[in-house]
Amino acid sequence: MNNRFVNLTKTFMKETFRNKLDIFFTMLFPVLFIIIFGNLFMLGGNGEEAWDIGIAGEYESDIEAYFSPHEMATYDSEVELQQALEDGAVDVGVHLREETATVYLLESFQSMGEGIFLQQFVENAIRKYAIDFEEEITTVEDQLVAAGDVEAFEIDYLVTGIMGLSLLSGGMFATIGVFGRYKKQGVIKRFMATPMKPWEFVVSASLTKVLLNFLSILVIVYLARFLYGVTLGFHWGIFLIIILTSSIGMMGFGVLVLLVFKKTETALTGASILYVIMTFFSRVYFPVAFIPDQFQWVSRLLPVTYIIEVLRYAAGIEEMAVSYFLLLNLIFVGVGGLLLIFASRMFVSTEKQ
Amino acid sequence: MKVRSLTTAMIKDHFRTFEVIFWTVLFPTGLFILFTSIFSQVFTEGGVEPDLHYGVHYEESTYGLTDGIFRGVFHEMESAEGSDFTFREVDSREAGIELMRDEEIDALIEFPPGFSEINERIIGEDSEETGTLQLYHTSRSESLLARDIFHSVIDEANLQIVTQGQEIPMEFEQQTVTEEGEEDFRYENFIFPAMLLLSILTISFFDMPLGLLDYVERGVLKKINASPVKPRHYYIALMATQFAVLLLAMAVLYLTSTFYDVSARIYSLAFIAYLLFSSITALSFGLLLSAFIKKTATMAPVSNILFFITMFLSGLYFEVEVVPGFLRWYSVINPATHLVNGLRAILFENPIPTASFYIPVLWFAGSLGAFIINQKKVMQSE
Repeated sequence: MNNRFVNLTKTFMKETFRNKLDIFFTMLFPVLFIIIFGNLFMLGGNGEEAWDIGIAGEYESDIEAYFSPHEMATYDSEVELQQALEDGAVDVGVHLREETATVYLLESFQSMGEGIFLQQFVENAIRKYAIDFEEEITTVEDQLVAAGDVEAFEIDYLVTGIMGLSLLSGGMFATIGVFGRYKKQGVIKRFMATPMKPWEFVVSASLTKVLLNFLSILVIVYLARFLYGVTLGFHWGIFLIIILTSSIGMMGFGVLVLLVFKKTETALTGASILYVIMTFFSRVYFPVAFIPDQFQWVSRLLPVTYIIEVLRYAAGIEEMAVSYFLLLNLIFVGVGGLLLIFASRMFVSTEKQ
Repeated sequence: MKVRSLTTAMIKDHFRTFEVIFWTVLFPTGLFILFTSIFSQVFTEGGVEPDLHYGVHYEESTYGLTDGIFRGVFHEMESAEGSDFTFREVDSREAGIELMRDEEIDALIEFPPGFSEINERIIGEDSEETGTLQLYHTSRSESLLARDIFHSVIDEANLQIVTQGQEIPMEFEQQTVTEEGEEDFRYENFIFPAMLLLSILTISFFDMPLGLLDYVERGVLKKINASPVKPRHYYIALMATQFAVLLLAMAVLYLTSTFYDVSARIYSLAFIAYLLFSSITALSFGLLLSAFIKKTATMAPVSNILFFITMFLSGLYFEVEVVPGFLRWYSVINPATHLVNGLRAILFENPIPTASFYIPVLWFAGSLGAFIINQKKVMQSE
């Protein structure tokens, strides 16, 4: 490796780590997401948390057994029950009379998702109480199956999803920076006035972005471990390959954005729009089953979906055929690499003349 | 006259910049449509209409009443209006689990050998036989949802078996209690004020401070100073320009809201007055940034970073209760949190919290003071 290349890489390294915006979006933004959404996912657990059920009115003490395994709290009046619900002391309330029952549900941002389950559970429990239901004829035993090599929780899916989004933003915005911003600022022209070869410029600039991506992923892994006890069973060799291939792939995607939008500022806006779209359709923050049918196919068109798939495979939480894994990585490197070579000719070599 | 000409020139200058129009006008509306399309169903009384797939494995064929009841349950779920449930029979548990790993199905239901022995109990014979179904699921969100829904369905089926379909003498009434106020919780009403505030914050964090610096750096301010235009004319024109962009953004959002189930209270005097109050006081961010940052190169990253932190920690997209304690202090002192709370309080027919008035006002007063001191210096040096 020649000295020129090493020095150039060092220079890019300094420039990259001084760029507050690059550092924020690649390293700190995912951290913010891990903290906020991790907390949100941990609050929900794996959907096995006990509900607090408030009850008031006419009932016998044996009703509590019908609410098992959830907790029951008693209230002297309907007003007290409503207040408890409003204060968040209970998740659902029921005011029971001889042959009628009023089920009180809290309508808020946090409780609406599970409202229908709460209502159905409470109504069935009261029906069972009303007929002295003794024993379930049919019971259901849950068996958690690992979708990959290790048993995973929802938080593991979130963390690997955020890693994928970080690789996307790191790669995509980096290319716009390298080819768009550097060209606009005349940096490329100045470098090309020296004996430097275009490939040296592109590779050294890209390498620093890959390194930034790697650091970002490390921060996510260790922060998730520290905050939520997430221990992803990454095989570090495979993991490093994924970071390299997906960074190249996403840089290629950035080149596409730059080719479509042409102007750096417009390309940045376009990239931001794509980032928002990909965030919502990447199945990181909510299940794809929640997205209207007519939009679900969008998820399969987005490259970030495949990055997240390979990351989840490397973390052992999802299964994947080795041939499919290799194919995806080859596509990332092949397509991304070709686009980077094309961009190097279009944005860098032309500045040499 | 001078103000009008200057304002017209500035508005033209602004509207020629695609980024300004996009981020301030189009982006909040686009996000409103996207969020409402995805999430509004989740927050309705019936919940989301999911698209879930189950695999069914019979270790031994079911027969008699059990067979009829469970096939009936599956058929009922498949034909439920609005939901897209499917049930497919698989040859073995291993094949079902493989399908689940390949995301072909979300959960696997397994009928163990001898499950149909509960037939005797169903027909009322003296039997204590219980059937236990095995439900295999993963930790994927879809799979957990499929698990919860199936539990609910079996609970209901158990009751129907015991009562032989006869009615239980218990009538239910559902009442909702809203912590937001009298109005029922509707996601559209939750997100609409957030998108209005997003437009306001975009102007406050980007358009205004970057515009001010841009005019200094491009020498426009110098030229204006050399003309008969007074500094106050310049600031009035600048503010009028920002409000023109904001007005357009709000008009587009209001127009879009007519296609969605947003409360008519957005047209009430209280809402519009508080929106105006928000538009003025939320400028405190821009004023503060302009008071302390002198270069576009510094302003761009700082305003971006602060904008995203403010957006995510002010309850615009989700309630601040989910923000961890060590970050919540920013939500508490952040005027955006209180402004969006104020707007939502009006839509949900709640009294506006006092903090929704005094915290934005305090920020605005402080920022305006810092800005005036700084801009006097800028104007003098120009």
